[in-house]
Amino acid sequence: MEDNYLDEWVENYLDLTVLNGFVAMISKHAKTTSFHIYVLCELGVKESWTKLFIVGPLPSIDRPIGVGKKGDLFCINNDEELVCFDLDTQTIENLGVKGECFFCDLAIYRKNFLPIGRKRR
Amino acid sequence: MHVLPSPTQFIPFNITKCLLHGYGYDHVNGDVKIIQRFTISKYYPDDDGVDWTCLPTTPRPFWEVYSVRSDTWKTLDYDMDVPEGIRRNVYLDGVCHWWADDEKYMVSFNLSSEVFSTTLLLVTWKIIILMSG
Repeated sequence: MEDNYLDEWVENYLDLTVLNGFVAMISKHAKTTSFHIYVLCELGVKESWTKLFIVGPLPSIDRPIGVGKKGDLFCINNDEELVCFDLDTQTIENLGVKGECFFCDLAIYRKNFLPIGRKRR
Repeated sequence: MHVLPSPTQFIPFNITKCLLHGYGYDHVNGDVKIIQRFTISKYYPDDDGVDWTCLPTTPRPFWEVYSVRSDTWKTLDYDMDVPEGIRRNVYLDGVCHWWADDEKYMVSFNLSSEVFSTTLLLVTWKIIILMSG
């Protein structure tokens, strides 16, 4: 699964996330503006990192910030706006939210995970 | 959800730092757990005539796990070293994962078995990390 991109990887981007029930690593190939998505099939086994797919070229996207519930990739574009990339249709939807690149994070809201409030004694 | 403050936060004459966290569901015991790692360094106030060096030695870094079910903090009796500069932590199916962007491996903690494990990253990624430095 190892590739030799030594000369081509010119911009740093690597991030850990969860995708479709797998621990996943997303790396950006700056020259082609494409994103390589790997999933970990077996915890503790380096060889089980599997390249799932490559998306792109996506020249307008700076970096992903997280993966949504349906496996959509939420990203920050070059204008520091939040966009949603649909991996199935390969389309980008601008969500009309501005945010600074390095201060964005994605969290999935879930209702009634546990009752909020002081525990009864 | 009510969480008791960890007693570690109140160790006198020391600066406690908690840089790593994780939380999630323990499927085996039907519990929700929080895990955090403390690094402790001695606090030396400015020259006020007190010999602070007579304080007990600084404890080594350690991990603590909070169980919502038992409402208690427990200190793990082994330490898993995780490099500073943790970039991302993710949670999936009862396991917390931490990854530092200058490291070759990812550290994971199973909230049910309370056991750590590591997974090496691919060499390709190490190249990216080096080139950004």
